[in-house]
Amino acid sequence: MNYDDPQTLDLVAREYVLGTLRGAARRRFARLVHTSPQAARAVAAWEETLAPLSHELEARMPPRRVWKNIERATGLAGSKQRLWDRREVWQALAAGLAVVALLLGVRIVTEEPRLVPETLVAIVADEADTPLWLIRGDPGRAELRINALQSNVPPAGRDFELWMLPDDGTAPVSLGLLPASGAVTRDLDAARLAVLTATSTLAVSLEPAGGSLTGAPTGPVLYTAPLVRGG
Amino acid sequence: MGPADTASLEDLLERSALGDAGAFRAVYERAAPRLFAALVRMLKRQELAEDVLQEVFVSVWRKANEYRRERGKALTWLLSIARYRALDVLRRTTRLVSVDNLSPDSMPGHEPDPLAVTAGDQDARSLARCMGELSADHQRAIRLAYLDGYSHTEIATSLHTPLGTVKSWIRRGLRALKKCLEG
Repeated sequence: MNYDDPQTLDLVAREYVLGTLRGAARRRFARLVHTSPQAARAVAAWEETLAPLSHELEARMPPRRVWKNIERATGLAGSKQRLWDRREVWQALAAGLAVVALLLGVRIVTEEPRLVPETLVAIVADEADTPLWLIRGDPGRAELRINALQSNVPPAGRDFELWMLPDDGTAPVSLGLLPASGAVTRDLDAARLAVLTATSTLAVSLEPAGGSLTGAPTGPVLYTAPLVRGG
Repeated sequence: MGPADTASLEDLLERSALGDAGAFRAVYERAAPRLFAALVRMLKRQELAEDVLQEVFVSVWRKANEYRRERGKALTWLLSIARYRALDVLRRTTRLVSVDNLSPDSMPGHEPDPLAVTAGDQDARSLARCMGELSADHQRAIRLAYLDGYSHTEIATSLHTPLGTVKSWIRRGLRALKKCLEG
């Protein structure tokens, strides 16, 4: 199609804005809008002409969770709590937790001297370094403890799932779903315990509600976090 | 409350582009209900509309600096991002188009109440007046395309009308609409 002809351009811009331009032709024209000021003007004119049609629709307030998710995805979630915005604060927190883990380890040593306990700590944070979950693995008790550090509500119909990414590069192993709030403690079976001790990285993926059905992450990996040996 | 209450949506969007989180939130509060209404109408599923709305605003936060005031209104810019995203989503999901799943106000005999529209701004009133001058068929075809995101084929199927006729209704309808708005 010859887009140099203003009439042709106007016709295609109109179909593009209306939505009836489809498939490859739509994608081609969308690219042209980015590079051609004439095409961009033709599109903007039709957008402005037709936009009032949407005033026929009654405005509809989206549920609160949508804004919460936007805040989290853009890293704005912590803007009310300035403290969390600062990388050094949560780094200090992580270091503090490592010390706590160390002390915890020492305590277990005194209780059960034959074990060589090792507590594993990970903090899952978003791109803006806002801490989302605290994960503690306790091989001595064969337990995994997870604390949600803020409200982390997944998008509707989805869940956040936690995975171990084993150091030897074998397939990720699920540690179950992450709580949206509060704390959970779950038992670790022998197989998971073995993998945990040979894992330095955890990952969080977005999965269908209830978790991945395949035993492997199916959704996007949203976060990864180093798993630190605390004792 | 702060100056966000009196600032225009255009001002707020420009401040968002500079990283003003409060302005961005105000953009969301003002524009999201309009965008959400458009998305629910196009996608027909509230849950999907929520996902797309979220995606749209995350991308708006990142590319608010692409908005140009001289090109048009901020609400139009935001609405277009949302509509085009919804069209992408619809392209990937097959839809069963029948008269049954048409929304009530695109059904024959259920034209929108013009009084409901007069609450909008001057442009909305002009458009409502000019839409009112079109034949019922032309209006219906235009609304199914713009508001429901239907393709030519989907409109033809849902209105039990040949494809060529539908295309001609839309072409003639939009030409008349533009002429009326310019006149």
